[in-house]
Amino acid sequence: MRKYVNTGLLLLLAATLHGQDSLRQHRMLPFVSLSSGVLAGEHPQTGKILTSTTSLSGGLKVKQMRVGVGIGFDSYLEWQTMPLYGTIAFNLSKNTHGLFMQFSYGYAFAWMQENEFNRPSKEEGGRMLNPMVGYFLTTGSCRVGLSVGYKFQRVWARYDNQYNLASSFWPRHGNQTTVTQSIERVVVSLSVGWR
Amino acid sequence: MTRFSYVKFAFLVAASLICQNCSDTCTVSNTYIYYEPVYSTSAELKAAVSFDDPKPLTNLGKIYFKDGYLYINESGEGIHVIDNRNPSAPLPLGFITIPGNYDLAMVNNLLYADSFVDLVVLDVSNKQNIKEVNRVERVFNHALSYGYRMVTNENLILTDWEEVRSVTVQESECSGNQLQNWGGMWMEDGIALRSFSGVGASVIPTSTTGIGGSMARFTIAENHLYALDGAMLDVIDVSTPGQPKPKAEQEISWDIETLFPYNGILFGGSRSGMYIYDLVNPAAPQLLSKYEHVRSCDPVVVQDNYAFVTLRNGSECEGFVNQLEVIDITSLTNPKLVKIYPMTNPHGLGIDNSVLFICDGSDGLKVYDASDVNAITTNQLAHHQDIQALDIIPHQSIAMMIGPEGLYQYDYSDLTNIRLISTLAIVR
Repeated sequence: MRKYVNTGLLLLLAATLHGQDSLRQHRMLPFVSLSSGVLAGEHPQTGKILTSTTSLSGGLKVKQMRVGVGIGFDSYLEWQTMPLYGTIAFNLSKNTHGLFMQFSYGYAFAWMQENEFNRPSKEEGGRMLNPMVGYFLTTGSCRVGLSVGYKFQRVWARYDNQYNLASSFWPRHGNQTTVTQSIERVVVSLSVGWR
Repeated sequence: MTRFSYVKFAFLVAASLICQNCSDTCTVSNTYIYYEPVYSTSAELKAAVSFDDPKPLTNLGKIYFKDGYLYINESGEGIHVIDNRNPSAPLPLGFITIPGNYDLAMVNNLLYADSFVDLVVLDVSNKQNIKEVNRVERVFNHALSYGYRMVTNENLILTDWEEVRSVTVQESECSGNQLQNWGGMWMEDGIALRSFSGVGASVIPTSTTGIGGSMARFTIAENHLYALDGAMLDVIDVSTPGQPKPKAEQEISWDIETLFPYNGILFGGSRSGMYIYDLVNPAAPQLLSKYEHVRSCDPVVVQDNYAFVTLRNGSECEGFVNQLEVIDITSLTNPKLVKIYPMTNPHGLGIDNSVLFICDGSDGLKVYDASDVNAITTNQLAHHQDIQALDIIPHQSIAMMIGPEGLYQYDYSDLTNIRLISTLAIVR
């Protein structure tokens, strides 16, 4: 997993720093953006919940379009995920402020918050999908955005040889439960960035 | 508003409506192995009984000795018949196929054996042609069957458990525990059958009966066959040859394991203690007392005023002790512990003229002079360490011992030189 993280960070760095002058010749400018916000939804046990989401993305800006990669950290109460994603955004306005649309898609690594009754043998993340719309403001090279959207995250856990706590009979090997969980949340986030 | 502003507004509204009630959905897939009951008819069981050529020993259960012949139970399958008139060269004569057989006892030339819920009577007078001569149906009905009836309303008999692998997939809203509680009878291979193959006690030959091992659940005394059937003691009158008559059924304890008759007294070994029954009225044993000990498996043998009980631990036996307990039974209504000796993992035991044999599991066979019950381990006569010992019948200077590796016989006519004289090995 460290390999993917390093690759993501390197891409981000490369997108930010690589050949700014040559890019400028092609009207391509690097950008970096840090977002933080809340994930709102309905949790099966606790009801309505708010959890946090944070991400860092970077890439190239071409006119009104921005293309890049990012890394994030999301919390879903018992699950924590680290998405690595590609992102594409489009400003609907040529002015210094206006609406924008953004779409991110990637894979998130996931970890479960284990407890006495929920201790998977194996856990995996899954695909992450995140369309957003928002409003941006730019002053100089600084850009601030407020966006709202939808986030889909898939996670997976496997439990081997579960046994009944009320019984002393150990199960035979081979018993297995897998849970594929599709998490849907509304995202509201605030981003601060360069360009 | 310009037309473009309407578009912008529509985007904002759409965004807020994207996921008004965002929640989780789960797909839960359960893959599990469980056991389905398999039923047979009584006619099928009866038709399966036969006397065949000798078979290799593979999964030994109880042993029984009578008139120079050894009868060794093959758990759940039948009985090996071995000519042991020359213990140095035991000769397999044949195999009696009896489905669902775990215990046996004999009177004269009649062998009484269980076949699932039935009691089968076999005539063994002709060792070349052993045959079923009678059958009492539906005698043993209390075996642990995990909620399934041993005999259904359609008169089908639960005889096996079939392993089934199943996968279920269901959608849910992720509420509550998504995990399958793997419990009850769907667990563990063979656990439902284990109740048939309990453990048991031994000896005291009379002129008409044979000698059982100390792990037996069948024993004969006072012209009655006493058989453990789950938590129940079944009493069957065998005074009329070949015509057993069930007389009574009384509850002992859910953890009862062995039976041992001695001078008109019936001793029962359970995981929680030793039961002492008076057989003044053989058809209705009367409980005299119970000697309680820590939870463990405990076959028992008796000689004179002392009962010898081995306690062992293990997954089936629970408990945490491995020891020999000597109990003074001078007062049958008030048995008293005399001495405890630590052991390794004692299973069956036997006693003959104060020579005490203990099958100490992986620590092999231990032989002691038990004439002084306060100094048994200091009077060790022999220790054969290189075998796994499970149960033993000492009789007339020959100790017939079984273990997971087969049958071993020792000559103890010279107590200073107890020696192995023959083996019949298990075939794997």
